[in-house]
Amino acid sequence: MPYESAIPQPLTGDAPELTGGHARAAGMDSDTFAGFYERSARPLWAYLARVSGDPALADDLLQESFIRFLAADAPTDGEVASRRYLFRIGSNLLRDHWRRPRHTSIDEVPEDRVPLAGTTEQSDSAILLGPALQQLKPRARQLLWLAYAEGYSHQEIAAITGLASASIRLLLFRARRQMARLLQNPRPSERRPA
Amino acid sequence: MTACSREPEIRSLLDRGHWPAAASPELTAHAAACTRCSQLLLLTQAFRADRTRAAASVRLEAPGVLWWRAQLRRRNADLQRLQRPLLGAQIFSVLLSLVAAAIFLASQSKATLAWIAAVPHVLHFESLLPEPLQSPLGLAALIAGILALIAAVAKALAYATSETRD
Ligand SMILES: [Zn+2]
Repeated sequence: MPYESAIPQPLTGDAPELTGGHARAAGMDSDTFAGFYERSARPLWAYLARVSGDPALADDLLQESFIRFLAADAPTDGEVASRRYLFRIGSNLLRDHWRRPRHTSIDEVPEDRVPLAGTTEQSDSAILLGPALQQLKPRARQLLWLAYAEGYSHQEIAAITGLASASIRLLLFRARRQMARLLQNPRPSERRPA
Repeated sequence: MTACSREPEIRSLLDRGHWPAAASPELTAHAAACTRCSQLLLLTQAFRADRTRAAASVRLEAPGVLWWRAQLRRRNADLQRLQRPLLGAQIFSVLLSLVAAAIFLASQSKATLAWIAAVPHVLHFESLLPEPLQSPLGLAALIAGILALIAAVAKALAYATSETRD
């Protein structure tokens, strides 16, 4: 048995193995899906766009995530589990994107090669996240986003990213310290206009 | 890297949107003085504000479009899976007919070989054939080869034009 078949579909990043005769997909009828989509598409897009730094890529990955979610046998035990599963699919697509020849891996993409959307946006919040986020590696951006924007626990982040809980603790500790420093002491050119 | 014991309390207030309104003055004072807790507050507030901002800026595809694209992909995958054994059966049947034809020709060898041998003569192209094919057996092999080639090309065309591509 090839080892890939022992790994849950979203972790392998392949098109899900499909079974015949489904009038419903992912345990959802089209109305239930419309509601789920309405509530989860924007947060997923924000994650994909901010971690990849590429809004157009986020558009593509968002659609592909939902199509794979529907075509796969996604968990049916509630919206929280469904959303976590969706983020896992999205994370795999991000990882596959970074694996293509141009890049080697999510950990090795130079941070300054990835422009971030909205870095020049005006904001009502006291702190602009974009410039600080731009200075981190994509892996750090991903972990921070899942932990602070989405509020996922280390165990949930492990399930979503496929990383071990122990490495998440260490990576998040470093990323959090770095991010706090960047937010508290932005470079002069990145300070908010008064 | 040690966590602060007050973090869960603050996290819970943040999650429910009750920070700082529902926080005790003691907890607020702690958060201001504690490195861990002040980082938690700073990052949570910055990331959630950015999440709201990013989420508001996206234009979404209609859910029905994605629903039908997923259905289509599912159906195509089902078709492809069904066609795999079908293709095998077709190749097998073609091979079987060729073998049967060969056996029939062999059983009728004398008459058939004489007839086949006469074909180039009648059609006046025996001089075009290379030496080994000028014998009746060689001719039979040539005809069988041409038939097999036609069958293979037809099969390849049928496969290439089938609508199982995603
Ligand atoms: Zn504390």
